[in-house]
Amino acid sequence: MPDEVIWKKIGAVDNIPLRGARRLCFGLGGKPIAVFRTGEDAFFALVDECPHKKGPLSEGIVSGNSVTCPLHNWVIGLDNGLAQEPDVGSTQTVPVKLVGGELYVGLVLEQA
Amino acid sequence: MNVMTDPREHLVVIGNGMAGMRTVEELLKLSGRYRITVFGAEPHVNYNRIMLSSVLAGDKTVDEIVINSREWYAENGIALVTGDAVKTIDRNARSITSAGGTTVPYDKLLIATGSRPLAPPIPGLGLPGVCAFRDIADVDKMLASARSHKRAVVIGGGLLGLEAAWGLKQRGMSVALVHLMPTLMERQLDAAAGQLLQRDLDRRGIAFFTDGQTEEITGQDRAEGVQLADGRFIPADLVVLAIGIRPNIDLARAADLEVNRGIVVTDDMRTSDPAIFAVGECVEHRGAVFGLVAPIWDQAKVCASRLAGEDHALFTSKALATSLKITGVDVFSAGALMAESDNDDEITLRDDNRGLYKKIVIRDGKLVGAVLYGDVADGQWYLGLMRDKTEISEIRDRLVFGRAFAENLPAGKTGPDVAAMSDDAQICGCNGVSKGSIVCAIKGKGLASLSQVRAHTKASASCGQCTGLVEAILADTLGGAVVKKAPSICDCTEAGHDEVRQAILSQSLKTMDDVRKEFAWKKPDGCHKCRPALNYYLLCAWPGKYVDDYRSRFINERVHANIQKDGTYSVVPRMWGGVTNPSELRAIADVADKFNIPTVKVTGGQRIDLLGVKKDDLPAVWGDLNKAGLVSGHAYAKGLRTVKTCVGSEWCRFGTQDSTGLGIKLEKLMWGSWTPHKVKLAVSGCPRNCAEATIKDIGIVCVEAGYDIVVGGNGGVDVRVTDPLARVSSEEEVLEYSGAFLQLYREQAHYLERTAPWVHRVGIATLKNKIVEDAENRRRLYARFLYSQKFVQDDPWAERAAGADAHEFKRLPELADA
Repeated sequence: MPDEVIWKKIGAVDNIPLRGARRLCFGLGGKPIAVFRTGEDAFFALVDECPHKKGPLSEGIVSGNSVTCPLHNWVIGLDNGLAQEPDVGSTQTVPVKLVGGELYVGLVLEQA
Repeated sequence: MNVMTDPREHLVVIGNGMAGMRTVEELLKLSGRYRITVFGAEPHVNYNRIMLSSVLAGDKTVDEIVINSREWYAENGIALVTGDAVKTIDRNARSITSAGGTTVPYDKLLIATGSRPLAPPIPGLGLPGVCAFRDIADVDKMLASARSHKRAVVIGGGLLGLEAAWGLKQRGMSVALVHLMPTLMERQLDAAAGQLLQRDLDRRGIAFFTDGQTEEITGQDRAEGVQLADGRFIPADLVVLAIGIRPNIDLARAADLEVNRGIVVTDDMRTSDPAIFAVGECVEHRGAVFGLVAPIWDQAKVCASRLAGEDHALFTSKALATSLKITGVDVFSAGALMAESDNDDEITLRDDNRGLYKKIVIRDGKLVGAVLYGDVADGQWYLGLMRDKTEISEIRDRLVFGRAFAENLPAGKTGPDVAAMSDDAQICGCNGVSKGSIVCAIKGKGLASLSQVRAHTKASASCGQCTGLVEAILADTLGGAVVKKAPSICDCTEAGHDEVRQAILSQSLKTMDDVRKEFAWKKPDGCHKCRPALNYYLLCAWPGKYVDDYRSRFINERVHANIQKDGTYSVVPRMWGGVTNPSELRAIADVADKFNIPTVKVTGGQRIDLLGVKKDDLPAVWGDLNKAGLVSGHAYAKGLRTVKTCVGSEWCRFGTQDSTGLGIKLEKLMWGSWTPHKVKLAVSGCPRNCAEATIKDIGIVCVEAGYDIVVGGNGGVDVRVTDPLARVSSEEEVLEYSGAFLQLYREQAHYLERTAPWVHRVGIATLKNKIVEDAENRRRLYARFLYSQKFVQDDPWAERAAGADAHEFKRLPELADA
């Protein structure tokens, strides 16, 4: 049976600063989620934990389509959650959609 | 021309593109036996389709890519029908009929209908704002979008898609590129080279969505975004489809010619009807179809020769090379991308730091493939070895290192010997620059670096493929005295810190965008390295005018607290000179209780650190501390941290001066200032130096005769003891000298360079010269410091406790869906 995606509304795009991020009140499987907004107005969501030492990516500097973890400067791709070379690792991505100026994040509920 | 009286055979050409017209040109050279009529579906004369990407990128105009003008057609007696596509071929009657209803008989027919963009059934493809990248009309659409809209998404990460993305980027759009496969240009590059390409283009600001299956182009009245199957969504005002081409064979199929993927032709370029020839992207020859220009020129030659009645010319597919027309990105690929069986060997050379990658594929002692990235100078040499099927076993172990090494040329000679070249030898084909004019510019203008030669002559400034040659000419002309460039700020730029700081002042650059434009930053946003640096440099250069970009600050400076390894924060209130009192201590204790702060610790800088504060609690913690008169200690800042003091003459039996009082005066003078790195001070009341002033950025050691000012020390990994700057006799002088020193450090050091390495780098003698000996300069430095302090001495905690940047401290809740 395919996994079901539950879309949760988190409000207007302007709640998220340009080249910035916000952490959400709810998480995914006990892990925090952050929504990112790039300088070019693209939106992404990731589990808010660096693959290195679980640093809060939402606190990092967003440039281009990447965020730099505030703890040890790992650079994580917002689109794919992958650490930029030479570091190796990945952070789970969370689907985002934009409907009429409102952002939604998709939580995948795994079917038993 | 009177058709009725022209006795010559009639050749009709369907398609006014590059392949058809090249064939006609070749034919005109060989024979005048035909009267020629050309039908073109586009309303234009014949133009160089390959250069459309240059038109898009703004390097060329449409007029510049026209191959044959209307005059040319007239001069050669060719009847040209533009904007009227041929609809049917009647092979029995030997005639064609156009959409406009014209029927024309032919003796020989040449089909050169080219290809059309591949368009899979994606919903939303018909929306305004969606186009292909195939002809002038598409480019016009893209340019119109670039003028009025901001965001472009290109679907397809092959040659065409990448060039489209680069062109749109050059036109000022923000560009994302969606590619179905995990790596770019996977048909021409192996995975390693594809990744390097992606890395380099990512640095130039193109956002990549690889493994991206486009599900839908969304939008109401025009394209608004691209939805990928895995849930990713990319907003877009313009969507360019560049996922490939398909031979345009409808006409041939309707005429019952043999078609497969393309119109099937034999080695003499004839279709299944001997009176009908075909050339270009619409044909299929021995199972292969064609998208690159070199084999199509060969086809045109063979076809023209056959039309002229010669009977020996045969078309054969040769090894092909690909290159990408993106300035500064050097890619070359030919033949096999990888070993195809156990008999094949791959040899790889990789230098990640320099962004170099070379792979060659060897089969039966012959070279059968080469993929080069970063340095493509040897590409044509490899291609020659492949085409000539040269036996390479002898040089196999050296082959991957390139021609110079493989052929044992003198060391350092990679490629042609530039010293032996004549002055009129063309070096840069893109900009028509000869060796002589490069040498002349180097000598005449005293140029010493590649970027200067580029700026003055334009040589290697377009496609960049001649960069190696230009460098060789530079080295040869200067006799090896090429100036080594200072390290760049980051990978976004080649500019160094000093260069940027000077330009900010001399060219009045007022914003980060100004700086990035001036130095042609590769990423429009910069990165986590350059953004905080530029933000600081601008803040320092334009006090009171430049608006701080808090998004370019590290998290600690953004939320005015120190992030800890578990994501909580530490809060350190300022204790002036290390002095506190019962009401402050009570307030700290109350805050620790109220907010369940787990750890309270005395710091090395004589203050109290509250550790483990939750981010959401920060504004309230600050609010409570503020009420007791406590303000931010800037323990998180690249700025003034602490001024450590001993008790001095007020209590100590050895004290010579009021070190505590002087420490407080220094702290009141300097707090709030932003500096290249953190700054710590100490004031010791006697030479016993209990405040450890000689390992501080600025230390004051009080003596009977006055005050010794010492600078450039730090603890840490590389302990450095201060250098003495001056001995002065009054507290006022201490403030002036220290302030002048701090200002010089602020104005001249590189971002994230502490005073210790800075003093070491510039030398204490230079600093003494500027601060001690030149009293006027010292006063000017001090005045600039005092001026810039006017704008920064506001407590950031009070501002945030009152609601500033509230979004930083609150999480986003889930909202009910209306």
